[in-house]
Amino acid sequence: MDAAAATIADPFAFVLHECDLLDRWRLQEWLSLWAEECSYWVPALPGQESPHDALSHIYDDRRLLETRVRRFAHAMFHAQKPPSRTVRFATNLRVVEQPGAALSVLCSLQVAEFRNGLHRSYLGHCRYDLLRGGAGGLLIRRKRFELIDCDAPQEGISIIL
Amino acid sequence: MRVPRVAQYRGFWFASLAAEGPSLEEFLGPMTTSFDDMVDRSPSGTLEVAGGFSKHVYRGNWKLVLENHNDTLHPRFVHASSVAAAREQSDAVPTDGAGAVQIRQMRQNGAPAQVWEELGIWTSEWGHSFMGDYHTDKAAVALAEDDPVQVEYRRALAARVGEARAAEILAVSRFNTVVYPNLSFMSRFRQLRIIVPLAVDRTMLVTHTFRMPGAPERMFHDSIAFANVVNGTGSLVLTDDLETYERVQRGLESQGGEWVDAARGLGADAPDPSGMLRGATGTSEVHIRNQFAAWARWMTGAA
Ligand SMILES: [Fe+2]
Repeated sequence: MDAAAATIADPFAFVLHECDLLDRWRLQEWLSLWAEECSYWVPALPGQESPHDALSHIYDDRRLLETRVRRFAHAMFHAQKPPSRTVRFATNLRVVEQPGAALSVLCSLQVAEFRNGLHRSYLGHCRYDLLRGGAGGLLIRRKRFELIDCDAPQEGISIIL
Repeated sequence: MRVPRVAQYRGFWFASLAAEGPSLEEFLGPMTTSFDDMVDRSPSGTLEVAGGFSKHVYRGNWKLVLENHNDTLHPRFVHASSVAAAREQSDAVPTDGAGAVQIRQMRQNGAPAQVWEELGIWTSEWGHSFMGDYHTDKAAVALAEDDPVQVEYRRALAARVGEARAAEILAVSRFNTVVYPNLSFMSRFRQLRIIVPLAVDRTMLVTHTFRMPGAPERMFHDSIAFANVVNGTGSLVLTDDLETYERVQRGLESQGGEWVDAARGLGADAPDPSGMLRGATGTSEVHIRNQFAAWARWMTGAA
């Protein structure tokens, strides 16, 4: 586990750090922000409540998330040749306290992507359910990013949102 | 707009814009057996459209995805990154079930050449085709045979149709069926895609999956996870297919060559006792030649 990541205790700083690691392609460090049991979810329908009852653009549990990250290192990840450049804007952040040590951060998230001459933009509402790790730092239990156009046709999403 | 003809087969409704032409069953021909496969597997003998839908688009012609769906040569190359990443994944890491289904499927895509070569691929009139299933990992299909969920499912199926018929139904081993020019489905996995051309270089796919009423709910959850890996917009597998279609499209738009070769297996395809033409090996491009034969027939108005 990355020591720096596990000690970020402020939820807003944590979310901005998460965005920054993705923009800088520091994927191993990014993976260390996640709890041992976790999920990364981009639903295909607005308000979708369970990832097991309906199709999603992306639904990863911890095992699949590790596989997703590992694939970026492979020479034949065709959809990332050339690799994307991204920039993220997380705004309107607010914390929702939850019982026990857990808390959630809600934000408006935009991920702008440039690859192979094309600009794409992913815009939506993101919710982070966070845990307090051993050192007092935060860990991601769940990240759910609902695109405002999630039920419209999407092109292949080869980056991590 | 009034649609001149509608008809259904096993509950799947089709519309035709042509007032005259072959009946639905004549048009589907041997592809009806794939619909049978999909519906017969349900312990209640019916399927329920469930799980919502997802849509994806690619910047390429609609023919590219149809040529791909029965192509057995590409997985080891196009999907090399997800095969390798999945193989290296530790199964000790937590999963809620969804990741396990997807990772099994990715590993299966790396099946050795011999598995693909030995598969059956069959074509019929009007551009249709289907291929045998390549899942040597039986657990990837429907959980291990001794899994309680699988045992419960078999019991429910046999209760309706009897042990002998249940065994017959479960022995059908089929992967993608392409009903040319706008439908593709996986009968064994309850996945269905409608292909919608938006422009000469832009195509949309609408993905559906189904619940088998009377089967354990876990099987529906596995179908959802399977849909996400084979059709999910952010799938570790599909993204490389979409990238490939787009590269092929750019190649076709270039002045690089006048002809595209689709001759793999040409001359060795042979009529099957069923009346279909079967590729000599599983990697024959017999399905692509068959699609273009149907296309030429329509475009020239030949009977
Ligand atoms: Fe593929």
